[in-house]
Amino acid sequence: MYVARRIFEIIPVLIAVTFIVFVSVRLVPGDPARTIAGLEANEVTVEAIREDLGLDRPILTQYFVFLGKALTGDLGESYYYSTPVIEEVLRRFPATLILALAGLAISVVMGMVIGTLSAVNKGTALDRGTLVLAIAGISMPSFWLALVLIIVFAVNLQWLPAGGYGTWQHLVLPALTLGLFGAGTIARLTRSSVLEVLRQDYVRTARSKGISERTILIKHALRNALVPVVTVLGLQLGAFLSRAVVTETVFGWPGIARLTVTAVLDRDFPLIQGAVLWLALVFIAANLLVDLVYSVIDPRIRYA
Amino acid sequence: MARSLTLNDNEGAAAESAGGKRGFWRSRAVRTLLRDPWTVLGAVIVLLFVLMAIFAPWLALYDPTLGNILNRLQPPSAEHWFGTDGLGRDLLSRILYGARLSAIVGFSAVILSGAIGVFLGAVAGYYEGWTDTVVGRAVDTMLAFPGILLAILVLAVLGPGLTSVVIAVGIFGIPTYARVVRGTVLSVKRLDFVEASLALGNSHPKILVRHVLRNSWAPVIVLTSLNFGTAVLTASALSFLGVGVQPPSPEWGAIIAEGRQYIRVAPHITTITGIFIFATVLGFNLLGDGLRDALDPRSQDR
Repeated sequence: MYVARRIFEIIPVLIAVTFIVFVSVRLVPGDPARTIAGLEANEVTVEAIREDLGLDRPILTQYFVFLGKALTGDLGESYYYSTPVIEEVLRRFPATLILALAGLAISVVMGMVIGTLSAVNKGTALDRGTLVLAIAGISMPSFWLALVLIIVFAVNLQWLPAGGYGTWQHLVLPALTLGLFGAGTIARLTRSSVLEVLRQDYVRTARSKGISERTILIKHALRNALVPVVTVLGLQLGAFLSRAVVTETVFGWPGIARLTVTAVLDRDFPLIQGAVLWLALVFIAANLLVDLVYSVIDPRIRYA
Repeated sequence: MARSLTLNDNEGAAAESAGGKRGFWRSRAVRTLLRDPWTVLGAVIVLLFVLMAIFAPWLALYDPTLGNILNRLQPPSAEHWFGTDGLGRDLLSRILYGARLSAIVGFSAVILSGAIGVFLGAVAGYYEGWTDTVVGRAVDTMLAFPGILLAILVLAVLGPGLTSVVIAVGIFGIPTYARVVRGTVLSVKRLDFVEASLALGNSHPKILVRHVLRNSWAPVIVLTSLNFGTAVLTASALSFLGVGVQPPSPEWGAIIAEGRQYIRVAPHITTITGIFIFATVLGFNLLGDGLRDALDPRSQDR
């Protein structure tokens, strides 16, 4: 019931996003019909192509045609690749998914380990270091971090490839670039919620029952720390995607973020629309997932 | 960045005393600020950045756009402290002028997004009802969109260049201002003095500006520091991707984009320039974070 209501609420946002993108790509200078026709084509040919693409019709009509087709899974054909957009999007999406999950894993594992350590060692140099690390993490330009990682691990040490896609070695540097960004923020959150939990009465009770400190940390503290961490993951998804755009570009990672950027630069209308619609859907689905994960982690949260 | 930025009565008093000339250095907020070494570091970095931006023409020993091709890709030396780039231009001079560009973009973008965001947030929070719904939906829509794609789209429409980057990056910051100001306005307007003012016969717009907004400035200042850093970061990323400020302009992101092809023979171009972006953004974030702790008595978990 809750999921149904959320999906219903999301529809106006989805329509707004796609409409804005639809209108703004048509404001981009340059005529795709002329680009496709080539420089030597005469006006008649260009007009024929324009008609063929439906670009001569009013913008609202074009939009509704797009929406209607999108509902049946037809996102049109890419001007640049001459393949169905949905195919291109689905072909590129797994690479982004792999990168995102690997980056996420690095963020969460590093962040929660460092955050817990710093909560347990509150007030020490390690603890203060964590707070600064968190701010440093969000202040670092990801393209620069990527290039520094390449200089160190690919150029100097020659341990890992500087770019490309295929094996796990190709994944390490891009995933680190993406993952280090969130680790600091998560460490900071983990720290404050672990500290919060360790002050609670039930932790004192658990201690007095002789339960080991390690069990208390894992069973009580970390479980409760997961709630704000999951919230922030949901909130930061947009920033995460922004970083993915840059990361994929630097490492030549064939994902959907890079596809979208090149589509904008190529004025590939259908591809831009399709890719953005897809990204918006993924974004919304991820947020929904975040909400559902809550009730699994914390049974007190139940949606009426 | 969705930490609580709310306001209460104490803070209004602290704000008042911080605003007055007398006792400024002794006010609670300023003392808290100066006590934290990281905040001081942030403030010092921000100050240095501003000085670099203002005095770039006097500090730079070389022309940032003219180089000696025979002297290209030189590592740091006494003559060229940060070495030279692919066209033999002095990297230090380019970075100094780049600070100027970053400052212009950051400053203008923050004013743009601040003006629009504060207005939208204030109206939504004060009047609630349908205005709130419309603004809320608009903010949701903007946040549902990966910011950099929005910026790239705006740049594709407007074409590359400094003004376009300001607009693209400025739009990026609107939703955070709107959201934060809406929240504080919602809490401030429930305070007694607002009702008293209304009872005295003052009009809503007047109350909104005179009383409600005046008491909501603390989170706006914090956000401005954080958003300035984000603006510098985003602008450099856009230039790096080739859609922002174009070479030969010494924009930091553009310098790194150019330096990228020499990463094997002259890594200093990329490394040094990036440290400046990193330090600048870090400075604004440290300052913003310190300001939040100083202005909000409730977030003292450090």
